[in-house]
Amino acid sequence: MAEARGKNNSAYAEAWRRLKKNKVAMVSMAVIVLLILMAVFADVIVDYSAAITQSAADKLAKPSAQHWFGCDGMGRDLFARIVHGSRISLLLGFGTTAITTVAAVILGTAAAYYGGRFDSLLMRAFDILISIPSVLLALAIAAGFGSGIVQLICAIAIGQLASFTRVVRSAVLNLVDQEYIEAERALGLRDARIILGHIIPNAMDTILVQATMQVARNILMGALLSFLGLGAPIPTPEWGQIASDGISSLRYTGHIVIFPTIFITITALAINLFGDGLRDALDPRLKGKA
Amino acid sequence: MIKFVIKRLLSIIPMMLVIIFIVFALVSMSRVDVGRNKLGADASEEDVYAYNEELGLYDPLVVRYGKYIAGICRGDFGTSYYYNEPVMKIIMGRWPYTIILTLLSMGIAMLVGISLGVLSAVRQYSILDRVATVASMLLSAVPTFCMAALLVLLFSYQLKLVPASGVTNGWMSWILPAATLGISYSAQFLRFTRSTMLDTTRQDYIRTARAKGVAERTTIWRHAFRNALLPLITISGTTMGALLGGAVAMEKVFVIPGLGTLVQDALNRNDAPLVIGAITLMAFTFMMIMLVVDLLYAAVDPRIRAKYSGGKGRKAHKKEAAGNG
Repeated sequence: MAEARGKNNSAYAEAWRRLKKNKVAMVSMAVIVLLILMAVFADVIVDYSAAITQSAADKLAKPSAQHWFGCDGMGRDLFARIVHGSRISLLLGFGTTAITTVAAVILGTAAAYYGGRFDSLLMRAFDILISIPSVLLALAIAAGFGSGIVQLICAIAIGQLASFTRVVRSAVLNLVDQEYIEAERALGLRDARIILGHIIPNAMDTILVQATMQVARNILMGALLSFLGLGAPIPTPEWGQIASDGISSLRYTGHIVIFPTIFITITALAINLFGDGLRDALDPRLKGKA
Repeated sequence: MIKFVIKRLLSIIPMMLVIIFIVFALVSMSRVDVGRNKLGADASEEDVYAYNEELGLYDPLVVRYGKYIAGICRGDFGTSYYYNEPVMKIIMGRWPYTIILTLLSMGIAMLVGISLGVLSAVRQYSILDRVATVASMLLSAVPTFCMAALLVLLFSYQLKLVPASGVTNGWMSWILPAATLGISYSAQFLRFTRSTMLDTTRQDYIRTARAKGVAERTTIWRHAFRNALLPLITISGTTMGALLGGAVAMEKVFVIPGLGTLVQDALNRNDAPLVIGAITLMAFTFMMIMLVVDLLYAAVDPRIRAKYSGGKGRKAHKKEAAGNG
């Protein structure tokens, strides 16, 4: 069955059919699509200038008809900041995951397929990388390269690379020993063809599920690092940054923290629930397991 | 067993050397002119150059790294640019706060997460199980610092039960930071304990224990939980690392003068020696925790103990196997 899945799309059609029956996963998917649309059409929804224009009169204004989510400590419209902030927050989640996924697939597959010295060297290196808590690694990167979006993306991507690569490596290790891969080697197929044509498609389930969960983790990590001041330069709106601003005026009002928290939580929750559904759909045997 | 401990301790040295190198190299990439910062804009080029020269900032990275390691061997972690005091002295003053916060939170996370996880597994699909599952899903989607802010809003500003920040109110000041961090990380323990316990309670030896008429409580705790403990110990090690990072955020929210706030301030002041020193110490702590985790492993699992300690352990393993059968 595993062989068939890599070669034709009917297995994915089957998984999609199963996924469609999962109400939680479908609602989560709708939420994710809505959030992405919000990020893409941010300029259509509300003008960017509203997100960065300060107005002393509206300082800490509570939610009202004019300012749906109220205003922050500098009188900037919170709704506009959250709508535009979704761009960077989602970029941190999806963009960083894309980078980590590609790197992890290349490294993990190479390590498992070729094994030997490269494999053991890489794994030792990752043992060390894993033993630096990712927040500390991000702080060190910020100390050397300053803070900003690119540094933030690098910090998150490097921090997650080791564990993701390990997952890919173990998935590929399970495949390398299978008879059909051995048969292909015996037939004299080139490594690139075996890896791209058979190994990666068969490891795709694991990679997809892992990547989905990673998006949520990266969004949370991005918010945390922004809160620590390692994110986008002021006044660029970003959810973690907005919440961080809200904490400094917590004594007077809570809404500046509450709204970004709701958005971060809904995003992370939707992605996690969709990931759960995706895992169940791709491999029904795993259903109910953590 | 002693041989194992020594071997494991020695293995930390090369790991630490590499970690210090990574941190050292990253922080050294900074293009901030230390001498200019220190001496001000009015200082002459020559003075700035001489200042940097004396600090050895123009030496190649490897030379500076070598000097730094040589210093560490003598117990010298360098001098802070900002405070003009030994890095170690500053760090030691802040260290206890981070340790208290981390240990308290870890205790809460394990206590809440593991006990609820076992209960959820034992009473699968009960109301408790459902509530715990939903709660843990929610908890792992809320950023810890946001949760902290919301709890401060509720318990400090609305209900006025606990102080909102600082460490000047004795144990009262620790309730909110430790509870926030602890509960936030308990979600991982809960889900993990639940799924591991569900796996173990389906094993044959549990059915055997029940068939023998062993009391349900004994079956769960002595047979199932003990076997679920090993994977649990593994994740407590990695969780501790994440928790250490979370502690940095908590220190900022609750204005706790620990290592986290120290690193951040040092970062803003371009105080490289302090940044490197503090990160090194935190990474070292994490390594020591992983060491303790490995030792616990050996203590809990006679099979692993046997691997490291010759005949005696192997006998114990056989005995255990006979006992289980």
